[in-house]
Amino acid sequence: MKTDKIYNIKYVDAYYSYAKSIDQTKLSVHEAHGYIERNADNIIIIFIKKGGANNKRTIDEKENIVKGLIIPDTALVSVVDTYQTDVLKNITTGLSVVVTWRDVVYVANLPRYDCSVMYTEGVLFRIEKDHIVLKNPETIRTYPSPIKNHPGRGLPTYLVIPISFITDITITK
Amino acid sequence: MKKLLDENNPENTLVRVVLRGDDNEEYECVGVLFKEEEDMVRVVFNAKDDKVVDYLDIKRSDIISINVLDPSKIEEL
Repeated sequence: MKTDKIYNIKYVDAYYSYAKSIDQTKLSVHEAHGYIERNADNIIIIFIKKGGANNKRTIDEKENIVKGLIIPDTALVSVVDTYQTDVLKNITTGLSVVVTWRDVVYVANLPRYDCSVMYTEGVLFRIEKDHIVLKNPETIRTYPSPIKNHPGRGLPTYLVIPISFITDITITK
Repeated sequence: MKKLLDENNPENTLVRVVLRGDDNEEYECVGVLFKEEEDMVRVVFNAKDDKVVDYLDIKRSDIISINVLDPSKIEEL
């Protein structure tokens, strides 16, 4: 039986701010160790698994992941640093936009193997080399169902999204 | 049980732990050995800007085996 390999993985994530105003923004570097499995354009990082369990078999047989994370493959620091996209073409700050993006998922005892999809309306406040900042963001998770507001509580004032997470931006006005 | 954590070593000590869960099933995990006490160990799974995010405290009595991993055998992504 194939033995699951253990990896050290460095990645970025989106984050909300609840501050009244926001100064410099940057993407934090997250670092994890775990058993890694790729599933299409998702990377599954398993922290805890059942004794003797095999990642691939866990996914194929739709068994629960005991504890882990699922990140977009574009969240890897090595990818973020060189990521190229034209998704921001003709998009400037100050515009009201709708952003569709893939989010990192924390998994505990669930048969989940892919990232969530988020839909955020807000005002494009800042564009940096590797991230954008939305002001007064209103986010819903559109995948998986059920659709629900995100985050679950509180009204964030800003949302920082890695550009490599974005699949679409539309200007609303 | 012999201590595995060398507090004078600035490098992370990576471990693979096989443990008995509350449900009496066997589990395994990998991570950085962060703390070792008489009756428990703390294994850290991830960190943000070097600050711990997720971890597991494991009672020593639940540990079936614990092995230090050779960092050169850990692949990077």
